[in-house]
Amino acid sequence: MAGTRLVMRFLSRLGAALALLATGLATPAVAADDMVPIRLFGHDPRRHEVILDADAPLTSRPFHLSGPERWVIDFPGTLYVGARTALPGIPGTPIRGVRIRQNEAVGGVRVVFDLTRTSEFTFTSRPIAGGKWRHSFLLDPEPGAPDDSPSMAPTPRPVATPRPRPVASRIRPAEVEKPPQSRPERPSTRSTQAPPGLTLRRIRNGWQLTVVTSSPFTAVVPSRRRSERLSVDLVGAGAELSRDSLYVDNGLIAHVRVIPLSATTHRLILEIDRSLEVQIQHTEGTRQLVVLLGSGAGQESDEPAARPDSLPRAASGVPGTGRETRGQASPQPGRGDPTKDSGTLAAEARPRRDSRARVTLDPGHGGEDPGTIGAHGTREKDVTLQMALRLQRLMQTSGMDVMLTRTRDMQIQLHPRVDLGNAYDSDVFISIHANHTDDPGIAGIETYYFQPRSLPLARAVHRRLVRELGRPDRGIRRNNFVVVKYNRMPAVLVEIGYLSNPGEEKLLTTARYQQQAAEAILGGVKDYFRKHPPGE
Amino acid sequence: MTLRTATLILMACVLPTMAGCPAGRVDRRVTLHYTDSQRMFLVPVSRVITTSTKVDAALEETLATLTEPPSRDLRPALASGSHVTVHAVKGPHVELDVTLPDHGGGSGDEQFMASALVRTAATVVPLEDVRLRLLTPAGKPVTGTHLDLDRAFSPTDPTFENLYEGGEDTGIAVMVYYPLRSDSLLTPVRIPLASTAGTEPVRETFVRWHDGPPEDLQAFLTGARATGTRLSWAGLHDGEATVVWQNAPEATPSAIALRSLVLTLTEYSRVQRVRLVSPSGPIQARIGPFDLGNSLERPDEVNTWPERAS
Repeated sequence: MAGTRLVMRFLSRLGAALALLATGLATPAVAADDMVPIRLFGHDPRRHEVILDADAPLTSRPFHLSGPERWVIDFPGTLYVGARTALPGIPGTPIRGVRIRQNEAVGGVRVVFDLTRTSEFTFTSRPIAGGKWRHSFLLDPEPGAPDDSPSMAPTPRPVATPRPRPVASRIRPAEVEKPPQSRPERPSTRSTQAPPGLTLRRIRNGWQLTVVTSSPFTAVVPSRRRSERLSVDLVGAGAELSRDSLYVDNGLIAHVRVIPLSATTHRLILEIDRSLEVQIQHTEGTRQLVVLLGSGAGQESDEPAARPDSLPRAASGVPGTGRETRGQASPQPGRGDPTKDSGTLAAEARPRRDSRARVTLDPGHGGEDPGTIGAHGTREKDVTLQMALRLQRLMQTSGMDVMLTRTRDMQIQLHPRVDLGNAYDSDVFISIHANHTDDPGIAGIETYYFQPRSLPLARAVHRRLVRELGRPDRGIRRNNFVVVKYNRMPAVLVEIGYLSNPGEEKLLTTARYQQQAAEAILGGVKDYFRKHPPGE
Repeated sequence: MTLRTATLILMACVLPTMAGCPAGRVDRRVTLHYTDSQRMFLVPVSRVITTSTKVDAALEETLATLTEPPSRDLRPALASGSHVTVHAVKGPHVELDVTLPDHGGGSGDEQFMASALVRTAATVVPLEDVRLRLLTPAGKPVTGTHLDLDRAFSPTDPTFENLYEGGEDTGIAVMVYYPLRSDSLLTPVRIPLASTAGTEPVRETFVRWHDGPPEDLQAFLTGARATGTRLSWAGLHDGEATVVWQNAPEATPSAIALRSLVLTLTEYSRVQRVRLVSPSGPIQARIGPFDLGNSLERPDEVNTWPERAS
């Protein structure tokens, strides 16, 4: 293609090394000893050039990407010390914008050119005053644009020494490979160049986790696994993975971590939403494992041709390709009779008839279980029931369908409360409690959740409670509570105050405070439904 | 020196040692877990204690110390008067019976208790999980609990971590070590970074450490920098993170600040060391256990047991 014609003499490592010898390395006190500082990132409008000024000539690694069209150019061993992080589009060129960032995976600086079309560029390195080197990128002008820029810019202010010479390279897309980050990192010899560690990145409709170790390993899925937890043992993996980073939820993934089981075996543990589909890719004896997470994870990767490599079947809890399908992880069934007394509660599993929001409210404790008791004798089970009844009225007035796990003073175990909400096909589940600790000075609001997808609901409700009740904010926490753990819908447990705090005990018994708390929870649920419409 | 004299000297040294260390006892370095005074965070404290060589007895002796925190800055995660009995040890699976004199009913306290028991037990013996039974003094199951006691707890259960969920960020969650308000103990808090911080998590983590705890945690935690110390991020290379101490040596970072910095950055496996550099030249200073003339390596412990327990 004429537009992608190439004339290239790219800066070679040898050339860079010679130039380094000629000029010497100028390293500031602030950088690691052998990191080359890039001090200036800018645009020369007269020449249509993007420029980088560094203390030494740079070795670059260009990658071409399409969809959208862009050039990615890495400079390993460099440190960007300038202030500007982006340039706008350059008229007369295909450049829509240029970004510069320090990139830890690269071990240096990455520059990204966002382009309007496929284009070549000329890369020039030349010495300038002060022992610095200027690196210029000159892209082909747009068709019809006045071509007033030379294909190789002259050296404006050459230094006295004759040895360092400008080096120009002409680069076109076909000559470079894509960076490893630009595609699903299926096991390959190329990908083994990546440093050991975990990387997590978005793919089109999910996430891709890549684990790279220092030595080849075999992946084994332990036979004992939980629906919300996926474990993979990396047998023979190097030791660099110990204590590696853990990632937190964005609605689907709660945590990812690596735990050393022995000197040669590490366990990768993913805490994920139970509805996620999981695909594991690994070729035995390689250093890399890829986990695709999402709805239709396999189809959503950047490279559909990626071959799912089977894990050892005997030990694998992931059938065949390691794919887990939606709905496999059913919650634990209820244990025993949901109601300890005569079963006045009717949990009807009814189909959806309209798009009205459906809410399950769970007043904590009840019957022989009073919950916590305040210094003045206030029982938690009474406060939670009063609160739930108020909230039920408010929600019904707002057009929501509401079910309570108990409507009177009766005992009901924990798992049946969850089962009731599941059978009701609720959009959200809210368990209402009052708190207690041995320090009467502690007061405030806490909100708990367990499943990652419940975090947005927890945030919405918690913010409203703290703001509208004016009580201390004691945070949102991820806890191991039954009533928020096995739900099929987002579920939270709210602690609307401390009965062990005399002031809050008094507040919790007032109709005014209870009404405010109910309105706050309603507001939070509405906030949540605005972003996550019921029935979706 | 004759053989007889040498034997006498040897016996004089060995016998008192044996008397002070009865058969079947051993020194163990364990990490105990308490909460801060506001019951917001789990705080690890390491110490050496002498326990039985038997696993179940060692577990019971160690877990009994959770009712007595070493300072007023901490509160017990296990209520006073509680009693822990090892029900069974089956390979890496441990079952504990916890007798509670009075179960107050607070859900957060329950979670802290489970976290402290399981995480502490894991420092006594290598274990995979712990199953808890909460009992009344009469030996009946406690009613009104919230925890999922049907399942065993893993010491690596992420719900046992201090996780900050107050912000909007949904990126990588990184562990940052902040001092409690008393400025004597550190607690690890996992904080999500902005999703845009994906390419520079270590630098962004430094920024989180540098800027101090999120605003809504500042009632409980403090920033790690000493007043007036100006530190800035320089880069990461070859396993070494470099931090510039801009105004060295006028304003000196405290030892706890350095400890928190090194702990925070070395949470990344690719950060093995932290080096402080000065724009004006080499740093020759010693702050607490840290020799700033050299790269700083990760301390073995987050907090050590205070010498004088309250």
